[in-house]
Amino acid sequence: MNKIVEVKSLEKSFKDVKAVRGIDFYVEEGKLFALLGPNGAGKSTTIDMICTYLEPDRGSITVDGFAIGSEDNEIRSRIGIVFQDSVLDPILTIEENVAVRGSFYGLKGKELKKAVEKACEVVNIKDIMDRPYGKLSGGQRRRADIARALVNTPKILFLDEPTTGLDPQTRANVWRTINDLQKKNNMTVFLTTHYMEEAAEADYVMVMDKGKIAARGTPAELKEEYAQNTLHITPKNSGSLVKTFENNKISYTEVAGEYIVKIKRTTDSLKIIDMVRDNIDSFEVEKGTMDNAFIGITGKEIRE
Amino acid sequence: MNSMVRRNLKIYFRDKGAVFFSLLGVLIVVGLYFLFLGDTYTDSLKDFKNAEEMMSCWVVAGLLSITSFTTAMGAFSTMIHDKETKIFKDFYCSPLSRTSLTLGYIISSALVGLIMTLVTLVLTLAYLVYKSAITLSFTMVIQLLALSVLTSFANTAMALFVVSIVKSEKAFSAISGVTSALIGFITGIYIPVGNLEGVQYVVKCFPTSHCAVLFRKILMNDSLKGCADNLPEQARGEALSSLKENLGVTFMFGDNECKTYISLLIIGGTIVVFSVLAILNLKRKKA
Repeated sequence: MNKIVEVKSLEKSFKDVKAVRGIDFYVEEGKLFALLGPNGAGKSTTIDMICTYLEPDRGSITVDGFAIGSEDNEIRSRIGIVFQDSVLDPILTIEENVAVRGSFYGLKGKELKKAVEKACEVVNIKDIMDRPYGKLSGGQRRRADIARALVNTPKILFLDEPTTGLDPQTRANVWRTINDLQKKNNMTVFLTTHYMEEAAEADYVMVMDKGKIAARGTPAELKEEYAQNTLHITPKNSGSLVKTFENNKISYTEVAGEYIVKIKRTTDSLKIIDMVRDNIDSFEVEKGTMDNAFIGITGKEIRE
Repeated sequence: MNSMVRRNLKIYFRDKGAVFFSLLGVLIVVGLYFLFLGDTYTDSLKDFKNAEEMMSCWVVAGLLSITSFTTAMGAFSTMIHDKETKIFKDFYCSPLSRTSLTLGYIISSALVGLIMTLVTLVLTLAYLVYKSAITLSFTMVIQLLALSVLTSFANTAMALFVVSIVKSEKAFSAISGVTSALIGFITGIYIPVGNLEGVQYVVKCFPTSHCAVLFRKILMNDSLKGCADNLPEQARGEALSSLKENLGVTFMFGDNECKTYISLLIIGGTIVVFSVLAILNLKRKKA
């Protein structure tokens, strides 16, 4: 196992706001790493520091063995970044846009042309390369953004909320592209996202909250530890249901006529159902999701 | 850096609206002159020969001295835009040095100023030759070209200074709108410097005015020759020098004439001083 990114006791403040308060983590090479957290958790600040845009106040970061601060240019030539907002020029074509950025990495002439074509091919926009960026649809733009990030064949690709603001179908498309990239080319992908279902597909998830690491693990581990399985029962007679619950010391919450019981494993619901079988109007067993896990970790719903 | 320069040039020239608006200051001059001012000025010079030719050359000299300022400002708007829309973030996270990034903007803006000045030069020279206001000579062309380069650089340096103090796109477009409209006045192009009272010194101290003076010296040389021949002989010298002073062909500071080399020094100093100030300003902001 090779640690392509390693972060140690990283801190960053903006005036009075402590955005990142001492975090340690690493990213394994070739893996899909997801950084999750509510707005203001410090995700973007963390990514900005790893990408050499912001200078850390304290702590150290190495990317592919190079240290932030002293070997920034080495790092810059080895990373690709897809920013939250589009950073290409609307008036130039995709090809021109990607070529200008490609030249920053010392690519020239034929070599540059090849790199541009290859990057566009990977994200499936080779046939629209001569269209102005400003005239593209949301999904095509995102692909062009990714092509720009790939032009220097980076060892690690950073994506800051790559699918925010896209319609579900386009989101799925972009996501498939990212997944393919990571699997086929064995590229390390480091992304931040708002969407739980996307984080669920990552190899490793780290949740940040208020500048600290709130939880980390594989999606399965996080679900196991933080997501709650629940049993929802809508009774025919709520009085007698409550009585049964109280007699058996089962704690519950009531939401709009629906009684919710937290259970450890989904099969635990069978016992309860047996107890109140005749009183059930309808019921539902909900398996813990990444959404639940997220709420379990941060105590808040993810906000957009 | 080369590719940044090319990118900036493409962005500027492809946005036809932006090119048009950055030429607005120039178009205002042309419009004002042909619609209102031209006849008035020519009439006021009816004692002189070649009044019409003289005034055509006069207005062209003014045009050539401000074109590069307004167009360089237009080109610099890309830099402000990139800063505000986080396009800078992408550049900063690439292995491209910040110096070559900034130089990219400066060089491309200077080039835009120069290209637009040269285009204006070709068009206006054609017009002046057609009106037989001038006879072109090799030395004259060389002088005009050299002066165009100097003027573009001086104007770019001043525009760069403005860029270095402005942060937002809104502020920048407001400033470039105001300066485009004002520059004709503070260089004595809308109204000859002699017709201005108290602000004469503002005009005479503004670097671009000196570019205008030099352009006038070159372009009006032909039409000024013998223009006072209708006047009584003893009054000719007096009339010619006051005409030159009024039109801003020569600047007088008190009783001293501002010589060509002094104007050149002012232009050169402008390039150096404003560039240094602007670069210090940009550096300070980064920290």
